[in-house]
Amino acid sequence: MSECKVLLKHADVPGIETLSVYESCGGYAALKKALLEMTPEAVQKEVLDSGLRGRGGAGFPTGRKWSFLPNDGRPRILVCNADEGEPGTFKDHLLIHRLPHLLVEGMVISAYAIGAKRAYIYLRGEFLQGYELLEEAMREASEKGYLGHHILGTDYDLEIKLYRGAGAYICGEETALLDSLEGRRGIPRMKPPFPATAGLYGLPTVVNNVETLTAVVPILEKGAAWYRTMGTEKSPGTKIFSISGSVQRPGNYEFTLGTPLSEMIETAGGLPPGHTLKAVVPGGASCAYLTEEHLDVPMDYESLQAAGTMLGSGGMIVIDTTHCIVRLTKKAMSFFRHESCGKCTPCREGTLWMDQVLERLEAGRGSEADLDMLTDLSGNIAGRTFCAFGDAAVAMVASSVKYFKEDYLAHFELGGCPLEKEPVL
Amino acid sequence: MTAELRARCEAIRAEYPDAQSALIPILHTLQDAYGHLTDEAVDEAGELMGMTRAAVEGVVSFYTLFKRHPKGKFHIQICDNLSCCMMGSGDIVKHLEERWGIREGEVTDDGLFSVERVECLAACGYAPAGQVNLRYYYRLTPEKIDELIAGLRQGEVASGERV
Amino acid sequence: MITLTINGLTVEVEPGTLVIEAAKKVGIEIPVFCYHEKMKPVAACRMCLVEIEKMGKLQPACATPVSEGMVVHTESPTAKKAQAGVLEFLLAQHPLDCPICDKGGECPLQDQAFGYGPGATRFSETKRHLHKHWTLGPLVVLDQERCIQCQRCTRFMEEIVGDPVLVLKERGAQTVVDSADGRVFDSLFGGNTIEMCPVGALTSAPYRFRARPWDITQVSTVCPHCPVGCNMTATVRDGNVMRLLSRENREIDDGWLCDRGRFGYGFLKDEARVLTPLVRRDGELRPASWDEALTRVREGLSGNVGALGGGRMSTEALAVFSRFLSEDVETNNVDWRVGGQTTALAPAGQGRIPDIDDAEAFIFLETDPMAQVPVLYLRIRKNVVHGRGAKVLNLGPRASTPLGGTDILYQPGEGAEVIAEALRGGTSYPELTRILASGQKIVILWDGTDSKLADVLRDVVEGRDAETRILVTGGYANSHGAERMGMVPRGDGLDAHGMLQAAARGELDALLVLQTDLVREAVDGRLAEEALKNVGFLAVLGHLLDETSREADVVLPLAAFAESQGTLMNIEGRAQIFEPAAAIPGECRQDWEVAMSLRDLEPNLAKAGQLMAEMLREPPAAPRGQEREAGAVMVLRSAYGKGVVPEPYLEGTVAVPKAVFEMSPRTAGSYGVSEGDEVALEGGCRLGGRVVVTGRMADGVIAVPEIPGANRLGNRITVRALEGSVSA
Repeated sequence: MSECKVLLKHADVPGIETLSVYESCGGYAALKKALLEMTPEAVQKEVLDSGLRGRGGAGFPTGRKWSFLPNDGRPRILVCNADEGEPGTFKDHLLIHRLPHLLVEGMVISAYAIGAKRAYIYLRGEFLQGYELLEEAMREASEKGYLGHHILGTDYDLEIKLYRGAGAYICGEETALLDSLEGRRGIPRMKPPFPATAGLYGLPTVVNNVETLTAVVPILEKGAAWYRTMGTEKSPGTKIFSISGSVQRPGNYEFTLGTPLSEMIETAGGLPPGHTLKAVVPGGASCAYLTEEHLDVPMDYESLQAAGTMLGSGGMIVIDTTHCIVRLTKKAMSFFRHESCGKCTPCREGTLWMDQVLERLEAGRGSEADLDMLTDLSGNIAGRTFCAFGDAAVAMVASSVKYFKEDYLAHFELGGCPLEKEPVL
Repeated sequence: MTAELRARCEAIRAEYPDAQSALIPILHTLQDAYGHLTDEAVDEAGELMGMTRAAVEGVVSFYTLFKRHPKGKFHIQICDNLSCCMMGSGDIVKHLEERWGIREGEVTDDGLFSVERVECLAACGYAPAGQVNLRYYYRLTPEKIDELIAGLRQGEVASGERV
Repeated sequence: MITLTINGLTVEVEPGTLVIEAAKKVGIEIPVFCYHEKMKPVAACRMCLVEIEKMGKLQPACATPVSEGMVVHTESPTAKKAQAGVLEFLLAQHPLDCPICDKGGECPLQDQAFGYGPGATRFSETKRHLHKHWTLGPLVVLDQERCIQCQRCTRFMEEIVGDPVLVLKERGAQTVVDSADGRVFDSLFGGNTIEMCPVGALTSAPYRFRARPWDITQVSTVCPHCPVGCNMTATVRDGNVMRLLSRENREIDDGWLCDRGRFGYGFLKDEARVLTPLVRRDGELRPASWDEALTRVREGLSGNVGALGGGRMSTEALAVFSRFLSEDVETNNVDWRVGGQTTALAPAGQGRIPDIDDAEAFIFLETDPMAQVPVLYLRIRKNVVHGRGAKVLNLGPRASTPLGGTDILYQPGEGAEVIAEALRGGTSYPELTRILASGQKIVILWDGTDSKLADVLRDVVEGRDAETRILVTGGYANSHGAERMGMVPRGDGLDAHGMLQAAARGELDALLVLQTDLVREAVDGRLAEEALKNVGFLAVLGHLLDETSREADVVLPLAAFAESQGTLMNIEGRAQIFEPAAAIPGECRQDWEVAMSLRDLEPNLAKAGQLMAEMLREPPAAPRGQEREAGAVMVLRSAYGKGVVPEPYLEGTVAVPKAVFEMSPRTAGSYGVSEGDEVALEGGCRLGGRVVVTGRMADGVIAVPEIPGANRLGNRITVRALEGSVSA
């Protein structure tokens, strides 16, 4: 077993970003099936039955999320979260820049399913090229009747608007995204109310990740039952894993969920010859480390949770022993400090404090008491913050103390980095 | 503010009539037009949106891409997050400084270049990754940097790479 | 009702109650920073995290509604650890400023660090540095390092005031509160943010570094600056008022103060404060003894005497003065209504302030609530924006509230006809007709000036099937008391305008002026000046040497509100007692003392109080209106007036009106001026200012703010564009 290309099946076909090539590869067949042969409720049911889980990081069952929309007659909105910013993750980057039509098709099907006539794609500001590609794809799709008024001759209309962010990781959090889409500072909102009842402009809104929306296409095309033949019972289907770091062939690889970690690393070329594995960050910087002890862990939502970490976005960073784990942990903490929105005390003050401590520890000026303090501070942040950013911010540092205490102690003893790495800027 | 620029901003307002959604695209537009968000641009955005300058600044200051100080004609962003850091982004930043005199926090004397280290650009598999004027350049090496900078200095367009 | 358990105690509350409110009901205090009773919770500080059984994570008590059978633990080991954790985080970057911080000793952060904190910090890194003296405005200085980003200030300005002048800037731990450069924090309600700030971040510019909480006393008092009568606490050090704080009265101020009141104590120490009785000898005012001064006054007040003012005096003093004037001086020329008012009492349907909360419609009748009764504007706004959603109708030559609604503009003096027509079911003003005919509860705020409106309003109250309440906004802090004490013309006595006319013609032998700067506050300032020059004898009771008291033959110095005690009756007619806070300076005396001395009585507050109570039993007489000449100028008058109370702390703030002249587009056109032009209005005097063209002014009328000289313009003016103006 290695890759199982469903979403990425045609990713390497030249010109796949154009409508004609996309269609020639079977594109928009699923859309036709959904709009011309199925009711919105039937489409929803298919997605629900498939067991598809949100691919952005939270892993919440998509069909269930759609079902939370109230039947109160208010207009509904679909928002695509294309704010990919989780360090280690670059699957949406590929999907948007290589397969824009797949996303468009997935969005039309999903919007149809939930009865939304308005949709937005919130793109991180750095995806300027993605914006242009999607703009062109949407233009092509409209011309062909796959988007806009009377799609495929039905009475279903959908308008998709593209909206660019301006550089803030927190806008990947769905309620912060909505605030940003409303032109404000991207600060997470209090839940309840959930976006399903009061989302964009107070209207019932569903926010889905790029990959989630593209997955709707094969699910509709081949059916929920087929989707469930892949993956595990609780984590059905395939997922794109972005593999980077100490592997010989970094890139996006699609696997069925449940594929063992070691197999994924192998598929990405494995470690460079003579290099030893130190750690793996399985699903982006918001996840706790895994060590060589965990090489057999099946990569699905439950198994990783049981291993004390998360599948998250599937942004996997492989780290070998030539890299300094203390340095990388500090780097991650600097990231979280920089990206904290500042609303709640533990995250705002905690990320700053821990970043300052890690800077000191990296320079070798610390003691075991500092490590105990980091663990305790992590405990005072996780589960105590306004949004999940807090839990994300402490995952790596808390697990680093758990698994890599010796590395820290070596820094202290030496008064610097044993690998002679330059401190983080 | 030119009539053309105003017209574009007002078209954005028409396209995003709800809440203050039009603000962020307008800020992007003004920043692209002026090079960075000058005091005038902030006031213009406030005037277009019926918002106080403080409210506009509150939004501007939250987002990393909005710049209140001049950038170079080519603003280089080098990702310095986990994977890119492991793959040598630090060397790229150093090379830009040592070979080309392009330093963080400055614009080169000819006004052409500025550089900053940024957080994850979602291109970890192509590390070290960077952008010039928000267009991607993958798998950077000192040689690639040399080719890029030399080309830009000779009037080439920063069109970015396709993934 | 929902029953839940908190720390073992059972409590029953309405559905929708927040856990923190339920806890308060059984006396359990949950520590908070960002939570504020009067604003929507944001759950940002995380200080109120509590353990709730069957809920996995700790929950913020301020944002969690109760549910049936909920079991809450606010002091469990987990909750305590969370509280200590939050405090440790807050204190990590918080500067060690306590020894020099204004808030020290009355600081929620200190208190909670002591009560819930970890005891010692583990933080040993370098604290971040931000601006420590960031001038947000003339009255508020921000120390950005101390800020804990609770957002109370930003939320207050946006949610309660509706003026989002404070914003958050930057991100993460660099987040700071700011207002835009060039736009100072100039809200009339800005001072409330100082009080609600749970740390010493927002500080009062006049109070900074002036006192420490352990060497002050706090005394209850009532604001003397407008008819609302907000309750306050005076902070006193060594007999001096150092600052004023809110003393929440839910039925009046709801815990807010406007800056005019909050910072309206600087005049106590003004250079112009009169500290001894002054008697004119050889053409000059010279210090004299009280005996001599009182004798001179008794002697001087003979013949054809008039008495003006008193709208700011205590009711006890007014009771005695009323008898003094009717029995000793024997005059019917008595009038508190120097501003041209007709009455301070509602002609019918006297409203109470809480009526604002359940009003279904507001009619602002020839009044600007924000200018005349600012704190009530906040209460009104609460109804309109966050509460019932009452409709708003603005009637008059000028419509001003930022609350929108329907404007019905008419010429000065036409108000009665407009309302009468609508009451009859007329079609000229359909919105007004509809609301009057409806079953909705209407609260009318009327400035109390046009006497024809008094009769029409009576018809409205009596003619409607539904409840109508009226609040008269155009008086002073105790106009209600003055009127109840009979300080209005009796029989064919002269009214204020009549007295000034008579005095100007030399037909008045003596004038007693009670705590008002007539020259500034009279409807016609030039007439007032003439009156003061030509009256036979002038006695002035007040605080300051101003344009009026300078003309006096005798000046009797009064103790000010913070230095004396007595009763004020506010816009509702509610009697409120104010206590003496500061030491009485010099030889000033309390107003009721002076009144009793003039009657040759031993000063005795209880006796004055008894007289007041006796007179309150008499029904109020409805005074007749004063003659008014309508014209091109409308002076926007308020009780604050900058007449009696020049306020040094408020210079340069929005509390002091700026010279802008509002007019309709047609009016501007008729004068040949445009928006933004610098012009001079020339009439009885020359006033410079800037033109503001607005659709919310009736044609032919120019609104002139209460700037010096406004009441000297008169009604016939020319408008001259100044050199270098914007338009041709």
